[in-house]
Amino acid sequence: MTMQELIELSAGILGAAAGDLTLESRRGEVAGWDSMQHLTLVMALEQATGVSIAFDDVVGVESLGELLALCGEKEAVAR
Amino acid sequence: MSSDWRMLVLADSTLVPLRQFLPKVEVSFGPHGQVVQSLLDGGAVCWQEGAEVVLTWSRPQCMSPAFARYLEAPWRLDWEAMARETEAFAGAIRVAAGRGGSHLVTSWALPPHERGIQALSMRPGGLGHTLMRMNLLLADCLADLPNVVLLDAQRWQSACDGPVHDAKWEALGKIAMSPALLATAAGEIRAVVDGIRGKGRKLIVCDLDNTLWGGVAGDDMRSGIALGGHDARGEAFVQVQRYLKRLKERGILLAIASKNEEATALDIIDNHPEMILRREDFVAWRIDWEDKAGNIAEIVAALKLRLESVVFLDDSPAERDRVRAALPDVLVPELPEHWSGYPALVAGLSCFETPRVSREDGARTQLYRADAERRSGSAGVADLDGWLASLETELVMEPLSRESLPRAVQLLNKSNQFNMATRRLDEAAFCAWAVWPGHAVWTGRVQDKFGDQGICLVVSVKRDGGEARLVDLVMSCRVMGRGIELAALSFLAEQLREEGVNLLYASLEATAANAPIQRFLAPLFESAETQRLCGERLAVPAHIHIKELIA
Repeated sequence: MTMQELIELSAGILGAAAGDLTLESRRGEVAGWDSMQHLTLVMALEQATGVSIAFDDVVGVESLGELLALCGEKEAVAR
Repeated sequence: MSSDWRMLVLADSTLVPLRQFLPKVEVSFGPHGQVVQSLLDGGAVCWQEGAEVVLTWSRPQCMSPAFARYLEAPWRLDWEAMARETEAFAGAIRVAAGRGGSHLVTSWALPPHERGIQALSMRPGGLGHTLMRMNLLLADCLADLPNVVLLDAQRWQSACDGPVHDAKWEALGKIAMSPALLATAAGEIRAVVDGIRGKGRKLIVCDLDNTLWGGVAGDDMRSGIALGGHDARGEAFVQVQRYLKRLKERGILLAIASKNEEATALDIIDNHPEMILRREDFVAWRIDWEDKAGNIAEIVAALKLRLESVVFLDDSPAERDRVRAALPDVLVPELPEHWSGYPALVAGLSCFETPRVSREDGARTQLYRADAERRSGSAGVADLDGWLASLETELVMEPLSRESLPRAVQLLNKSNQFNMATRRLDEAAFCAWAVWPGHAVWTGRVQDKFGDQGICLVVSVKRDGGEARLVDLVMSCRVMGRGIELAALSFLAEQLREEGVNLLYASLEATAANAPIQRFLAPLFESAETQRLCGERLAVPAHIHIKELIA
């Protein structure tokens, strides 16, 4: 998944404008990024990439950059 | 982004992620865990969005405390209490359904890890038996509500392409359904709502070689193709045909688009001993070497259908690709790589949903074929008037009745091209409208020398003193081009004149699909501004005989 794809996916789920999101965007800073939408976002990401993100990572991840890195690692392993 | 429809979800578990599986649907959620309160309180905030669809997805232990106690200790079984609580839940659904809209209610299911005692599960008092009994009672309680659909959540579990429950999501957010189950549920919900909204597909255009039978007709000839017999491949294609035949019996039309010599292919269809589908099962065919997309478009135009109503089945990825590119509105399912997967693919297509099946659906192919014969007959008749007269058409007009209501509502919801208001109403809503003072609804049944075509037309009117307004004029596209619409409208105008109503107006709601009715009505208006129908232009065509049945 590319950075742009992640930002567009996140924007759709969090109800934010894609232009307002960057890899530095963090939970608690983006208005729609509450705990439920966080889970929805991770679930959507898993669906889109086919990777499974571990329980502790779902809980611990704080920014879009971290989320992308998690997906990237898993995707690399899957390949 | 514009949404297809709005859906309010009332649930006692976390379903927020369902939203991402329903793109183009505006999903809103009632307050968590307040299913019954929300159903009963029409003034609650969650109803203010005006959702067209309400999904109530509950768990049995949340709706029935007696069931919850029974889950904890099976010896606490108290069926009377469970039945009472089930009826109370159904009562709440009834109250909400009375406010209109389409209501989807999921049947009660437990996640598969709730194993219970399998040796006892299906005995009276066992977990499986008790849950079935509750579901059956719920189904019976809701059976008389035409705008309520009870969805089979247990089927979703068995059809789910992946784990039904995912412990990670349950632990993270009390999301009791796995993403795979939510995806399955979303697909079924969309299919059912499409069916309710008259968007179910109506025609399957099939390829022949390696789609309806194994092998190539032109190479293998009748004796060489794989069809039936003691042969896995032959049996798979027989099964494909059986499933297509089932769809045909439900009113789905079948047609053929195949690159073949017509005589060779028809020889197999007519004479191969194992063919399930015969020539009379197909409403039309184009068996030649022309472009399939063009052939499909021709078939669809000849049947007066729309491309949005069509499914194309072909084993060739190239043909599928061609049709997808040329006719994007046609649904072209991916076929599995191996033929062994074809039967399940055909049986599992969810695009033919409908809220009801009637006897007329079983005869639909015959009706369309008779119509095609009528048209081919027209080539041999020198003038159109002579041909129309030769049809011996009789239009039987009858006030809306309990018997005709389901078909009238089906016409109202499924017709696009010849539908002036494109009102989508369920039976209860249309019935309520019809009995309102000043309102009148008539149905028209068409009979001709080829047989009874069934109810093909609905016309409704709203009277106010000395004037009236035409509200619905809906006709099956099957009988278009025969002056039936003019006959029905003239009949209605005459009825109104007898009641002292001399001014008839029609407000035409133009849509992207209803050009045919626009073309019909426009010349009948005295002027486009007033939309007042000109009495002199309303006359029953000479070739149609009208018969009036009094309620």
